[in-house]
Amino acid sequence: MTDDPVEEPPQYVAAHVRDWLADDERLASLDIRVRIMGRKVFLSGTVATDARRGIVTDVVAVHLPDHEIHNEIVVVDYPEASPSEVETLT
Amino acid sequence: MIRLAAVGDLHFGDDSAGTWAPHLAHLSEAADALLLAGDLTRVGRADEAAVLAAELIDVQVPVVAVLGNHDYHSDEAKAVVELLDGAGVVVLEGDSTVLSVRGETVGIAGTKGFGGGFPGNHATAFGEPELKAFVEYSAALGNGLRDALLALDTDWKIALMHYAPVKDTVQGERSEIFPFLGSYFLAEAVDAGGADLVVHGHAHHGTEKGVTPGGVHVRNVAQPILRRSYAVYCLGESPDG
Repeated sequence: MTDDPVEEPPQYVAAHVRDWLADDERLASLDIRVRIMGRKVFLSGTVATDARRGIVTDVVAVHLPDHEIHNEIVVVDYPEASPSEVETLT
Repeated sequence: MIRLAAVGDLHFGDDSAGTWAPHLAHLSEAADALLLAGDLTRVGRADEAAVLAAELIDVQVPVVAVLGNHDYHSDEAKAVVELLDGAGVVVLEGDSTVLSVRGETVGIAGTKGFGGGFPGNHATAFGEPELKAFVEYSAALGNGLRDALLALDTDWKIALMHYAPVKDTVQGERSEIFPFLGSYFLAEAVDAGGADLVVHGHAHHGTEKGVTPGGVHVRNVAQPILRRSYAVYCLGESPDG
């Protein structure tokens, strides 16, 4: 047993990363996908701003300084609905 | 005919100013009301709600909302509601509001709702007090919604919630987390109380369209699913036929 999360099986490390991203008030993100491959962390999903995308990397880097972080998160900006997308319910 | 714009899971933060208002410019031409299906803020802080309230201040149609789980995270839900109320947003929890649209009445009953799961894979109020409290809280919110719907005597009835009432609209999420995404208590309330449409959010990776066992349309309007600023649903006959 060790307290160092780096020595834990990758499944637990991925769970910790998800918790850190949820706990950080700048993100409060519950749905970023996390994959751990050896000493590499792959992050995917969507966030609303460039700043939040950067914070994701910062948060993981603080906790896993020995890991290589691959931030594949996409920043999304949703356009206004077009009239053609209106659904009539019957 | 009534036209309802709807979206959920905006997750406004203190960095969100100016991100949504530009996309609402044509809202009053497209819809008669705007429904917000919870998770309006990132962590439920009053300053986040203030940013959203400022974004909504120029909206020219009635705005009706429920809160989501994120909006309770900082124990500032009361302040969040007050700030939204100040911007003219009606925030529902176990109650309803009635709108008048071109001579027709639209009753909207709302609740945040809660989890517990869907028939066959749902939690039961048995065993530890913590689990009983979880299930009983979810049931109580469902009962509140049912009563609010039953009390409405309007041409149209809409059920607005954050958590999902049916499994249909959480499909796409990992099945292991379904019990945290919604509860059949909500669908049971809708079918007992009567509604023409259910609007919810919460399940970002779910599916837009579903139906309750009683045959009521369900729409998951979580913004990551819609991939646009809001959806618009029409009920009734167009004046043009």
